[in-house]
Amino acid sequence: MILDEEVFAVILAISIVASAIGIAMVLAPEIPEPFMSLGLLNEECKMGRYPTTVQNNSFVELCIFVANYMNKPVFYRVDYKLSEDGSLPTNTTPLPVKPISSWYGVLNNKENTTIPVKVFVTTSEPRVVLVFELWVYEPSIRNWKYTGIWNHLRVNVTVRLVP
Amino acid sequence: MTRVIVVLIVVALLTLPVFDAPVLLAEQADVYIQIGEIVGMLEELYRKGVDVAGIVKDLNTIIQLASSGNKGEALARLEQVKNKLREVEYVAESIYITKTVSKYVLVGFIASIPIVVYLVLPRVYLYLWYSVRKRWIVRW
Repeated sequence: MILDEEVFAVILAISIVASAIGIAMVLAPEIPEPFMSLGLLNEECKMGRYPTTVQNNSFVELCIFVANYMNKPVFYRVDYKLSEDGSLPTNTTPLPVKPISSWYGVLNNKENTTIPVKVFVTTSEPRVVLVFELWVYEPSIRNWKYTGIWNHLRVNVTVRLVP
Repeated sequence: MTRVIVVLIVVALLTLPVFDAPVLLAEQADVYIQIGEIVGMLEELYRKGVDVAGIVKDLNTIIQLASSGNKGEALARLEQVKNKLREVEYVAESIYITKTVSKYVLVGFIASIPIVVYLVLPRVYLYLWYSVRKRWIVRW
């Protein structure tokens, strides 16, 4: 026999499997599990060496990283809040205090941005939590929606000594 | 008179959280609402395969203008973006059809590979097999 039947069957099976995988890759969505991410970086816009102590009534320099992998452009907002009792938001409920600052932006799919920010800390507590929450604008409800994504930084607050 | 004073105090206490709220200027809120609507349209265009990177960049510029207090410039640029969107919407449908057709043509091509292998491989193999042995001389 010139062309062995079993060899021919194996080659045909390989081509069928390769074809099925190719079709699946062409028809699959760009990002199978859409997500967004929020990162908190130090004043050099790098991870680590976060400030542990801040002076009361002063600004703290940090950076915020936002990435969009939602398979669509998003209009996002990052809210900065101060938690004086140590409470944190959850993945369903934002912190029930008013934001002190907000930063807005639009990101295309598979795009990210790093924003240098200066956040103001004023409190009567010796230890507070700087909370950053990620919200996105939902065109279907024409309102902002909390994504359940947040970052926080616990800091000690010192009082500036007036000479 | 006492009743009026009490009512005024109660009203003042009830509205205190409003005055304590962080101030988002009405102009900024107006710009952001319009940006939100535009992003809704961008979602639909992106789904149809239109490249919206340029419009996203323009929107970020508008946000920077609005947050720095330059409302007039922000609104003017918003109008430019809306005009650009109207032009893009005309071609969005044809782009969507073109991308869909090319995607399914590619799927059809990949799906035909096993059929081609089944029909063509034996013929090609036999042709090569005979080509290699064509000049053999068989000696008894």
